[in-house]
Amino acid sequence: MSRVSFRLLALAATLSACGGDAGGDPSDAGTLAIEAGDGQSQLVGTALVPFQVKVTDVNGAPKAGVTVAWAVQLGGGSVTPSSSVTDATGIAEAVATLGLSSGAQHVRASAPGYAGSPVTFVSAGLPDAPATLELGGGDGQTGGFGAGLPQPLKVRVLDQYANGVPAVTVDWAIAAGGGALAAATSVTSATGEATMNLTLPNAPGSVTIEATVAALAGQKVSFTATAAGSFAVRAGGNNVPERYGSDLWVANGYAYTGTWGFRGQPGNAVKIWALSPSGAPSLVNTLTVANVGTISDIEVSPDGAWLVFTTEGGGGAGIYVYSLANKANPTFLASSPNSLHTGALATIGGKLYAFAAKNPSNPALVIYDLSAAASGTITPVGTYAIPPYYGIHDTFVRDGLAFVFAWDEGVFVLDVGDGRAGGSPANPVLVKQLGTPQAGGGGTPRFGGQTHNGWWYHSPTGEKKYLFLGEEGPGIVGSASSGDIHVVDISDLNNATEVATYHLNGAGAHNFWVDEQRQILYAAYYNGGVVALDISGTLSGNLAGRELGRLQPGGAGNTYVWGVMLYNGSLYVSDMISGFWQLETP
Amino acid sequence: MILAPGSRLLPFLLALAGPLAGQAGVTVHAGAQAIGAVIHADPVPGGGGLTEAKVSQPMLMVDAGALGGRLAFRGTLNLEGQTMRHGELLPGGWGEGYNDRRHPHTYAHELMLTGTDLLGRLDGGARVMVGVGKGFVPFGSDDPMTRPVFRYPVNHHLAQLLERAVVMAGVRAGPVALEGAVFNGDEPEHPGQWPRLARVGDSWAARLTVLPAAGVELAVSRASVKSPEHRPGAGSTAWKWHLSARAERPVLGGAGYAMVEWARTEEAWGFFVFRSLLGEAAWRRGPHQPYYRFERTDRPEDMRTLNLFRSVRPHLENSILGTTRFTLHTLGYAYERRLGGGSLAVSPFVEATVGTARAIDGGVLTPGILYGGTSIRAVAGGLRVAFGMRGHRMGRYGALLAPAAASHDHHPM
Repeated sequence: MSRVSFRLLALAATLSACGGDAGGDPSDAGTLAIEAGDGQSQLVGTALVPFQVKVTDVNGAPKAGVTVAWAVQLGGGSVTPSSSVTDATGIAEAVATLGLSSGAQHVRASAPGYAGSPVTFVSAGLPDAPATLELGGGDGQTGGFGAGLPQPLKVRVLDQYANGVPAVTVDWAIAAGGGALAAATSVTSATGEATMNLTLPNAPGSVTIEATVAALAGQKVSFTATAAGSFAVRAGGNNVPERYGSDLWVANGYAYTGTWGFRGQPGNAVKIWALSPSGAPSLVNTLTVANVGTISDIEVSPDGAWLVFTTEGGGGAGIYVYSLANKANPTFLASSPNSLHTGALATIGGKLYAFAAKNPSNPALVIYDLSAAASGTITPVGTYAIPPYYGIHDTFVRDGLAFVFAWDEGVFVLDVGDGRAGGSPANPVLVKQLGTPQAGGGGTPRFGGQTHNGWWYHSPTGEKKYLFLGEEGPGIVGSASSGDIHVVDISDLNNATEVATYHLNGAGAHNFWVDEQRQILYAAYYNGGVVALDISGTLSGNLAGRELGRLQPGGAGNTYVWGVMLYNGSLYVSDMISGFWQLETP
Repeated sequence: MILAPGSRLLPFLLALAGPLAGQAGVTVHAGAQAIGAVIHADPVPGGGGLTEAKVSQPMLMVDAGALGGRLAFRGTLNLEGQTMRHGELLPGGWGEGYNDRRHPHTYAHELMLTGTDLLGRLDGGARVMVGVGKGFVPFGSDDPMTRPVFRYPVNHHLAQLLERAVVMAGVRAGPVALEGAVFNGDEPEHPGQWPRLARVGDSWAARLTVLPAAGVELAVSRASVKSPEHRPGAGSTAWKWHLSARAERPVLGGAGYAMVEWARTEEAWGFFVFRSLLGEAAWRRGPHQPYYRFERTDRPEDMRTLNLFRSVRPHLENSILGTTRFTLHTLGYAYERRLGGGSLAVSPFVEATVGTARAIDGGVLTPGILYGGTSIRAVAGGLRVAFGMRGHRMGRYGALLAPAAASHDHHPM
């Protein structure tokens, strides 16, 4: 106990004594006063130097033969004897032993009828040496990216009697995850508590912090904190009232969104949005295409020079390439007819190709060479037919592999330049079909029901282990949907195994975007809005605990998100009902 | 041989019947029917009204029997594929497959061979029937073509299963008849299309009919239809229920007809449920025949092509764009004249429909978007002409419902 606090305790005891009930008239019998032993400090559980009181008569002369009663008033411990008689010098004494709880301990001496009686001896029990390090609080907190935790991390250092031990140095360290501690050490307070503040990392994930005390070898306290966030609307929304929205692409300060179906106007328009310095979209142009029913997929070429989109429904259906020399006013370059459900761009061998899903009625992956589009030519160079069980819905091309998401037929993994099977864009070669065909074989695909889309994830450490699959179950476009996210370990394509799933009640997955550096998967979830998942580390089982955020940008009943894309720190969302949005990411 | 007078106008049917004619116990009945009509419906997909003149339900029919009626053949040739482009049906037929004109009648509407009472007395008082061919599945009520109202009900694909390759069997004991069948689940998509034989057996149906009194039928049907909307077979299975009560009785000095039915179709393990309640009645006295139908039916909305009457075929996904509930009242009147000694029936008619279409369960293709409104009006007028046999009681084979089945003129009223 510090000297200051001890003095306060002594003062309090004195005040208490002054206010006590002496009993009788002091002038009749004399006075009781502390003679010695007050204000001692010792380790808890030890005997103190004897307490002495002195009784004097009304003239101040020692008075012998007066019985003084002793009793513990506070803090435990004991005092013996329980009464003693003053000797010839007027002194009576007793021996007190401190209790096992640290802090103030009071022993009262009383002689009824004497002025000043009772008197209180105030002692301080000091904690023993550190024996235990324990969690004090702050574990399991979640905070925003780069933000401090709401509460500090706290430990307690205790002696063998569970008394907090002050002035002990606690060492802090981050054992796993990112973020930063306010200091490497902190010192325990009078109550034995030490605290530390943590700033969370800028990416989602868990942080493990450990606290240790040098004198307590082998003991440590671990904390877990989670960096997370939430979505928030920044701008946009409810801005395409005459059409239903479809796919999107954002590049070079502009965004391009497609339209779908029939909402009084057919889905034959590409909406062109200029992004403000803060990223807020404003509609600057509408490009319409004759005789098509839906702009099914849209993308800007990697060099930013071309806008490429696929269309379906109507005699004008096909793949279109427009020049983006004027980003707000694209000009037509070339097209090739076909009814195409989606198209994905990839550069292979220095040439730009589009991998398009031809549906219906004889579904096939059709690969277009776009290298001569500027001169008005789009050349179909390769094709890969699949069984007609609803056809192909999307394709993901990376590192020379094309993942063709083929509904009831699962996933076709094609070599289109990877080299492992001698394939090329002109000659795609099947490497592996993942999942058990449903319609053809009558079985149930291993990876959910109808395979719609996917993303082959390359982690920041270079791991290429996981394929995220979007399952599209039955739905009522605009109001209900179903289907989960399935995570498939494709480390060995011949033994691809589903390792994790994410399910959102009452809604189904659609298109993905993955922030690979921050290890976040953003999923369009139709009437469920958008969902962000932490995909860091090893993925297994139910990923519900990895949900970082979820938002229906248009609100309930006004949300049916088709696609998402991350650009300059914002998540851009194309909602079939409520239009084009800019969101703040978790 | 018994030859219906109307068939004299159809030499080719006679030629068809010829080989059978010389055999003892062989009977051939033939006939033809067509309806010329002008129809105005408001609204139609895209909004506004549409008036069209069409020749609807042009059919050639033949019923042949042998072995004392135990062996029977029923054939119906439907020529709508010739009189209506792409086999489309009429504006104002808002039911699935008609509004979007995607399930036309096929030319070979019925080609059914049945054997009834083949066991003779071996089965005691029961009658056993087997059948094979292309035609109606033993499910639900009679085809709308053989019922009084000209306009097709919305619930056609909830209350009947037709134009399938069917293998069926049935038995009747006393007033109870039980039928069962296996068939192909796929719906035809153009008039010349045949069922996918490879899919025969992927679907089944059963119907129990009770005849508690003369002219009265109570029926309950159950069916599992695999992938009806996706011909290759990747679509979801439809589980169907149908309950009906039907009566044909003399009423007020005329011939009365009434039928009420309830149907329910569930798809995608209950994700989609569509229901229908329909009641209709007619009364004929002499040449006069007033009739009325009430219907409340749900139909799924599918992705439309640029021609909003048509939907994308086959579907690309297992989603729908919404559900529309049609509530319709149809009131009509027909006047029938028999000519040529009764072999030619000419029936001018007029009918009107009013009602509403409301979106239920959400979805993006609402009546407001597709039609531009929710109030429905339609009128139709035309002339039904029938020679000889005036149409079968489509949907019932094998004379299990005798004595009514013994007749070959089952058109109500």
